[in-house]
Amino acid sequence: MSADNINTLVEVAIEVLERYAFMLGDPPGTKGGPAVLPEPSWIVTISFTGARAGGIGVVVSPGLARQAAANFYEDPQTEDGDEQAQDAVKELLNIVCGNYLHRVERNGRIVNLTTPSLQVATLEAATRYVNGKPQAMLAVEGHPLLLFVET
Amino acid sequence: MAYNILIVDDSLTARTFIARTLQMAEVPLSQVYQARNGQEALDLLQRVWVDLVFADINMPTVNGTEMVRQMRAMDLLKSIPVIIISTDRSAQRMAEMREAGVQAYLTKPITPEDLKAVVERFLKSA
Repeated sequence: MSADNINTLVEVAIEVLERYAFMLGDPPGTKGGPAVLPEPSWIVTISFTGARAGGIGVVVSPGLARQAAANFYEDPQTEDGDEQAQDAVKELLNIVCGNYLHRVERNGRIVNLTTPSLQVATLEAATRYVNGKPQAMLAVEGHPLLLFVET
Repeated sequence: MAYNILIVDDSLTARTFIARTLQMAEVPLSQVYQARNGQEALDLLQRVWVDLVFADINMPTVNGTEMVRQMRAMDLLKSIPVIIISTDRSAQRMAEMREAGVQAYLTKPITPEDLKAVVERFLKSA
């Protein structure tokens, strides 16, 4: 996975966050942006097969996911195990992945996506999970959001 | 005239977003039904009448492609317009869905203008 692909993923994620979740994302390297993963971390991943095979993922804080859910739901839950917040971040990754594949797979061939999955991790476990993978840290509404590509 | 709409998607967030976007587009709505997959939708359609179905493709149990094929094989349901709302933007998938019998294909993220246009195209002329 080249640096170009990570750059494409960043561009797509910023566009989707703005258009779908009404959240503003700043690209990597933004002055004053977050530099560390959240504690606890929600790691959300999605895989694809077919004309292109691989996967992408995101690490977010529960706070950012709750904020995204609040933008989707008129009456967001604040308890109940964060079901809405987890569903919201999975759906966002699903849309990011579909739009990302459209940019990198230019021949219009079918790529099958899996259902996104989410795991709750400590900061240490999340750091270990993304270690060595191509990645980029965004700042979204003041929260860290790490995009990565499964290798 | 107000319409009965069915939204089929395994994501509650997606269903909620589509329902809210229909409201933002000022589509006159009587009932908005929701189903989490194609099987739930087919079961629901045995009990209620809807004017239009918005459906995802990638869903557990019965996916969107199979749901549309089953609807097109049933006398009671074959005339209901189905609009796909998916993250899949491949030309090959769109062709596959047209062949299965969908009327239109929108890609996420959708806008109120997108939804209003398809509702006007498929319902106001009916």
